[in-house]
Amino acid sequence: MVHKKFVNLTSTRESTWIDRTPHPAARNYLDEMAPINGIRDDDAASIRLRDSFRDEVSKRMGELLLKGQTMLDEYCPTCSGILMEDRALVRRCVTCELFREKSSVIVGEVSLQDEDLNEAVNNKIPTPAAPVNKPAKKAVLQKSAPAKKKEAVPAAAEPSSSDTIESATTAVLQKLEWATDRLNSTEEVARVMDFLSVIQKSAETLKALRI
Amino acid sequence: MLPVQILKDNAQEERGESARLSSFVGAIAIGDLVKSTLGPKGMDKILISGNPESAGGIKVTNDGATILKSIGVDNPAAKVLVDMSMTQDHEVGDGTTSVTVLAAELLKEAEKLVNQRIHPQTIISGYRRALGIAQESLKKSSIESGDNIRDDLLKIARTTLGSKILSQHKEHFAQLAVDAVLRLKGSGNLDAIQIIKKLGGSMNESYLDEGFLLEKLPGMFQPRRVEKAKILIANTPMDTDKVKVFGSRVRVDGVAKVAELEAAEKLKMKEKVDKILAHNCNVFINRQLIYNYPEQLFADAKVMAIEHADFEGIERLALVLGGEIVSTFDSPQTAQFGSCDLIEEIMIGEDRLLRFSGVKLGEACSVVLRGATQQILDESERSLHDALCVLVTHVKESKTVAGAGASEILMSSAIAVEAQKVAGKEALAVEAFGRALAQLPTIICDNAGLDSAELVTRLRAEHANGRHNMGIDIEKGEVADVTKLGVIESYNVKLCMVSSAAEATEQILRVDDIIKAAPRARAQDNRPC
Repeated sequence: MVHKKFVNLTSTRESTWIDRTPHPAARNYLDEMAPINGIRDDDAASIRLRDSFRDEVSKRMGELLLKGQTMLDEYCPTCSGILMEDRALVRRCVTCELFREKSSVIVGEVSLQDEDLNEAVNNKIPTPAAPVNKPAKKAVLQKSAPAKKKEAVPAAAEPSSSDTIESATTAVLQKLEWATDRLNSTEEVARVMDFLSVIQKSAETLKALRI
Repeated sequence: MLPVQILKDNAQEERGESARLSSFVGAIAIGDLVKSTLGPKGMDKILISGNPESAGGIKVTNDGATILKSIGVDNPAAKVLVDMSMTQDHEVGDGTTSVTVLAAELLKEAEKLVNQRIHPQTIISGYRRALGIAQESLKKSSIESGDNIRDDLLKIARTTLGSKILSQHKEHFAQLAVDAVLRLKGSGNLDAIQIIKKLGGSMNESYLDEGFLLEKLPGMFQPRRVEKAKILIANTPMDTDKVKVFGSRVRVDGVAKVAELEAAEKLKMKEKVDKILAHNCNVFINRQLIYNYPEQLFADAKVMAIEHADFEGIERLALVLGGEIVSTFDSPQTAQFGSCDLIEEIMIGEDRLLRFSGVKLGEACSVVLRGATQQILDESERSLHDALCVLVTHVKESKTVAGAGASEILMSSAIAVEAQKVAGKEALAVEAFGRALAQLPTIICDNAGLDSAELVTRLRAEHANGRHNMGIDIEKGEVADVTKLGVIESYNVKLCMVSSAAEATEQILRVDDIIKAAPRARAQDNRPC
């Protein structure tokens, strides 16, 4: 039994219809930044973070509305946020922009830390093992990524500006150098295995960044 | 079972989480937009419009409804908020910004609750309960105006105008508004108050004229001053009385016939004027143009003829002068004339106007606004109109409540106390309503640059101790008894504001499915405008 597809003569005409069904892979930035589990999770920090993010988004939308932009009835495919359209019919998603800004702040910090570490390594000062100390702010991105460079990569893998990708690449390369150094100098098998896995992951990351 | 198509072609459906959550942020953005105009230290906004002709394309305004009318919004939740604000404007006139901000705060609290996995229906029933409590407590605190209604009207006018550009000349305009409204003697017909804008001068040169002003002049050589006027108001074409059918043609076979036609037209016009003169009026007002020939005839008959009083003007004139608008002149006996004591020419700034004094409708008056720029004039008109609406509403039902944030904190404290008696998760929603109400005075303090946390908590303590007249004194930046300061508002305005905000929020919360109909297929619209 074959069912005929719903071919509508009207919809095959060139229409201005935009698909508004919710995108299955849409990200919920608020849940990513500060997940809340039910009513008992009165964690003030995560609630404050969500509130400030949402307030910032609506403040920007308000400013754009005053400048004459229109708040559309259409939603961003990445995050289901509301789109704003200006007089030149250019559309933008304020939520994604804000999220990108927030995460790019973090990417910058990661690479700086790595440079510090690199200097420390060159000065032959014993450095801590592979997982770098997270500064408190980065605790916000509660991704369960193993290494810090992994953290930088998902944020930068979004279509962001090329200097974020560059700084991420530099960070990974430095880590690669550092790991190779240590590999050469260490004798314990366990440490050798650790460094080998670090080198392998760095190589994968670099490949992902090049795309 | 074959799948069945339920929605029409090109219709879409958006369900559940994304339908609801995407709507919150849009509506909250609308609230954030107007937040900074709230209160006596609120700032105005400049709206730059697409078409540069109307007043340079710029509007400077403080009124929430005006701002919201001008921004481009397609988002359905935001549209609900904009509609709510316009309804508030239409019903009461003032409080348009407050209602938007309150609705946005309610939605913010509701979003927090939804994120804590509380069902929207629970939130809605909690909000409803809180609304009931708020309305009760507001009613209990309201005071009848009774005899000192003029004082109360003055105070209310001062409060309303206090946040607009007219606040510099608050006293002057409050007196003006109250005088104008008291002349209406409770009829509530704002059409009788005409607002005329004249560029030039300064705001405090505006005045209330007890006559009725018309921005037209009589025709050439006609009497410029008429006493004991008997006025005929008409809406009839007084240009050439020709056949007004599009595409009609008259074919003649000689030039003499053309001259005959013209003579016949002239005769027709003369007969018409004769019929009008048979009414024995000494003033004739026409909505349409009066061409030169009939104008001359009127001048000969010593009748003042006024042409091209526009549509709105004609209706108002008919109302004020007590006459009826006629289109045919066959029966002089049954026509209803308008009357007034004196019609004369006056000069305001550089323009000359006609002034009708001693009109039939004693309630009529005119307010002449002066100002430095066109934007100031427009904004003054809007503010004055808002104040007049509020005063008229108050005259109908004259109960007052304390202003300056006192009523909001009063309602918020009452809700906080009652919320403890509610069982279940609904209590969270009831508390949230109270918190949202307490945000309004917080925003007013923030706009004034005061320490909002300090002041609002102090206010709450005062109200908990039973001193319900305490509000915020913006000038001094401290908590004070606002009824002594004279900052009061009309009960109707506050009630309407709280109810509308709660209802709009409920409507947005109830949404879990957005179904969009396909736009009707239309032919391309190539019209010029």
